[in-house]
Amino acid sequence: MRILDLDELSSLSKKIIGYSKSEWAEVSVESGHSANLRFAANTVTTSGSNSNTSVSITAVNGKRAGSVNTNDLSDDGLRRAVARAEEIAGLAPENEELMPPITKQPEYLRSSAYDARSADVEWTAEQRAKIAAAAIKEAKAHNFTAAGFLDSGIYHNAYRNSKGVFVGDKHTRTTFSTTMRTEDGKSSGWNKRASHSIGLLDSQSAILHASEKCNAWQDPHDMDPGVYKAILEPSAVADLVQQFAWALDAREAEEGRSAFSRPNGGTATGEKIVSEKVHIYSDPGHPLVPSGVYGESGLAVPSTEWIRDGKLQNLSRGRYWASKSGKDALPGPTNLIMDGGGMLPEDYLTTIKEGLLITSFWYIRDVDNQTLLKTGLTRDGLYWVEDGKIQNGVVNFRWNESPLTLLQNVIDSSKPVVTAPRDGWDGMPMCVPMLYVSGFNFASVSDAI
Amino acid sequence: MDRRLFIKGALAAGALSLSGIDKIAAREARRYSRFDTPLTKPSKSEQDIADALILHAKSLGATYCDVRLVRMLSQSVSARNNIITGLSDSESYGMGVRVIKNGTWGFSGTREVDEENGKSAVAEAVTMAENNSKLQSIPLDLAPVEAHVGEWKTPIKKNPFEVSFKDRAQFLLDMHALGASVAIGGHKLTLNSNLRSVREEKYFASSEGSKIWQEVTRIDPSTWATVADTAKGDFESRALYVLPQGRGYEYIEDYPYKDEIKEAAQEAHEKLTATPVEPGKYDLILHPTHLWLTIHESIGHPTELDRILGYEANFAGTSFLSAEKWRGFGYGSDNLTIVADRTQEGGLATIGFDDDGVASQSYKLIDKGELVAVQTTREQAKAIDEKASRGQSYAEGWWNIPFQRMPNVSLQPNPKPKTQEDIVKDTSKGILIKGNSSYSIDQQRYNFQFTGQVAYAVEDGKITHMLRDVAYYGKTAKFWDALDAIGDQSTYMLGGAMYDGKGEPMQSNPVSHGCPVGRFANQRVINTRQQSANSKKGMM
Repeated sequence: MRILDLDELSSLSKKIIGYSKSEWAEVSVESGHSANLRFAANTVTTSGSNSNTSVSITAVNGKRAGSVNTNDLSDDGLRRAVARAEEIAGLAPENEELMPPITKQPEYLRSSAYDARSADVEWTAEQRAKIAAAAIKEAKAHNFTAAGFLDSGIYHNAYRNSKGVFVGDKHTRTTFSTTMRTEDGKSSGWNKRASHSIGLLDSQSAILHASEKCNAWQDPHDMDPGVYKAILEPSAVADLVQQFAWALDAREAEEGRSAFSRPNGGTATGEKIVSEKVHIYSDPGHPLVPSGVYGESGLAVPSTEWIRDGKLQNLSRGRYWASKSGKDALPGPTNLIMDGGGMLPEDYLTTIKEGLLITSFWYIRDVDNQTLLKTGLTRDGLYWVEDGKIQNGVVNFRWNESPLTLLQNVIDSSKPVVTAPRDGWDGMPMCVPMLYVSGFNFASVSDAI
Repeated sequence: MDRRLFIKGALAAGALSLSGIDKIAAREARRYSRFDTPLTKPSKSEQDIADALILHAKSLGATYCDVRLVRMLSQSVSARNNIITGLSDSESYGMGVRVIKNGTWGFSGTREVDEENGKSAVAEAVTMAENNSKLQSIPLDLAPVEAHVGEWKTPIKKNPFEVSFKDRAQFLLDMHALGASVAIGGHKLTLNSNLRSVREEKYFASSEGSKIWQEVTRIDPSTWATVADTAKGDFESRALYVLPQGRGYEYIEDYPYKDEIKEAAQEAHEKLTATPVEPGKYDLILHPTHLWLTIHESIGHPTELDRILGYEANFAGTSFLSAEKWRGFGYGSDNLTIVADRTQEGGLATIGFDDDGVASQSYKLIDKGELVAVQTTREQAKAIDEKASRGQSYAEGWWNIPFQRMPNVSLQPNPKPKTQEDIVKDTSKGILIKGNSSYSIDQQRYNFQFTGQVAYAVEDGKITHMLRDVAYYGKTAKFWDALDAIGDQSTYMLGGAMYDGKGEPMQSNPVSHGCPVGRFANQRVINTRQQSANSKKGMM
């Protein structure tokens, strides 16, 4: 395992820029190592590790650009890659939307996304084996079968352009998820954690949660499809908040192709679009969910309010669209935080009068971009809650729901906690609460367990 | 086309004997070789490294080792309206080393293809296997495979990597110009396209004596049109039905792009004012541009043995089929015959040998409605008392471990003449759906919900008008039971996807599904806009 540190990425990117003969060029370099342990049916299955360093070079002449990606880091290989990028640029039609490089070194936020101990490959391997063993032990104690996945990675990345801008960033990240199923396959429970620090995962808590979920979901009751009050666990909230965030694009909205479009080129910016209780923002320097500090063309990713008091505050804006609309460019979020109440999720649940408690979502897909309608399924634990207690398991449902409607329907929420989406992108650190909503559209019954 | 025509020189390794099929393949290949140019191989010294690493793994106590040297090439051209937004050329080369020690897998991948780094990778894989074997309760027992020394290459007429970037860019700009020429009532049209070519050059060597070189070419075009009525703040999209295939650039040249891009712009416009569907039960006539994805989700995935055995319980999910009771399961009507086939011409999963070194094959999964086989790898075959793997092992790249992935899984056409028109004529209350859009299915593959690109009302044997906001949902076995009419070969098309996700860490698998048009009686249809409004009613 050999990955390059930030100094080496700096030297490498400088060398590549030195080979360039084009008007200007930019280089992104990534070097990383990840290792994983996978288990199922109470035994290990396919596990592995890999390391790679790759470079992406864009050469620009006038309004023509060409890009090359390679992991051949030999001098010859890099020279060939630069020459190839320049050759492709020569073949490219002019792109009027191509923006010049940024020339002033941005001020980047500081992020604590790198945990030195999590970069110790041997130690993390030991930790992964211990965690998997604990999950299998818990499963066997209850006659369950455990499946799960542990993945730890170290990622170094850098950006440089030929006008002198350079930024390097590094982070570590471990994810752990586990599923406990009864031997007859009639009940299942799941939990997932993610952190930049394997030491902060609290894997034992995840294992116990999955086990308790499996135990509590046995003999689920039938319920008719319909709109019910619902309590979404943080992972389920993370999935739908991510889906919401992907739609926050200024160009799509201003060109009339978004749920945030308004007639005649207007957008919903400034409008109250969801409950006034909703506050969603991103902040690469957040202490619990630190994240990437730079985006397109080396731009700094700032701390950004997306929704405050239910009003849409911002839409992300690429550099070309920003120049055309006379506004500042705004990179999309690299993490997402949603504020909530003061009680931890497990305590908050005890205050709920009634509703369906959703553990996680699965197979979320777009249905109608105009309304941001998504479809998906509940998975690994759906329960009827009354007077703060789980009364019984409930069979799974397919749902058809929009994150916009979900956030309009918010009654209240727990304290936000670090979590990870199940269906969405693992690479985005998220800190969101458990949500209690006044209506969630469960559309049809799923027999899946 | 038969696999035999694709295989060149599958020769015996030393004293190892060839199976009957491979002897035929070797003979046929000499006669019908389709290789216009030799396939690309790693240098002799790199191949020697693979041999040295296999010996090194054995010296460290591994009972099995394979080494894959893989070069992934990808070129992409993307366009928005009259602008080329990106031209890129990517290459990733590296080595994946897989071992078994103490009955447990270990794997390591590295970009540094030399003996020193290779030995470090072997050591890492062996250590991983040793450590993980403490948790191993079912030691691996691979089904036997004959050693193969052979080559395979996707039969292509025009190498997409030899078509200049300039020509590919101009092609997309020309197509967009055609799309933009369509009258759409003054609304705003946005056209997006991507044209990607992929080549996978792979050398596989195993401790069992196989040495296999393969060069797999795939082409992945996509285009979609969005029409926005900016005055009203409404918009609709229509993607072209062009889908990726295991072919060369001839696929792009032969595809009716010019007609379809105009049709797409026109239909996206028409969707804005189409009649909202009335929810209820309809006979669904599913065009092959749509049906392939329904096959993928509701037949391809549930018949993967790793899912049936619970290996995907934490992520992709299990299956409604059980390990004990899958054989003979009544999957659907007599019209349902499904073939699993890694030899299908143009298929994205079409290869010569899988990543276990097993030769590709074609076999029935479902015969006239009855499940007769599932998808297996060497690791899995013995779990269902089969003597040999079905050859479904695949890794996305050098950086990840192979595991069970789906072959091309296709619905066989009606042997008797039956056109789409015949089926429409015979339908009194139905909906014809073309193209695929939204698709979602639960983790055991019971409950699904799909939408298409366009939908048309079928009334009293005629297609009458376009519908909007159509989605249908159902349960797998009931749905396939309702397959009461099926088109003949003239209606057959090959759909597919480049990025079928499964496994942890998730890997993408390219896979195709061929099918004719099919009709499914009495299916439940919902209106998606009404769904959007549903939970608002529940607000306090």
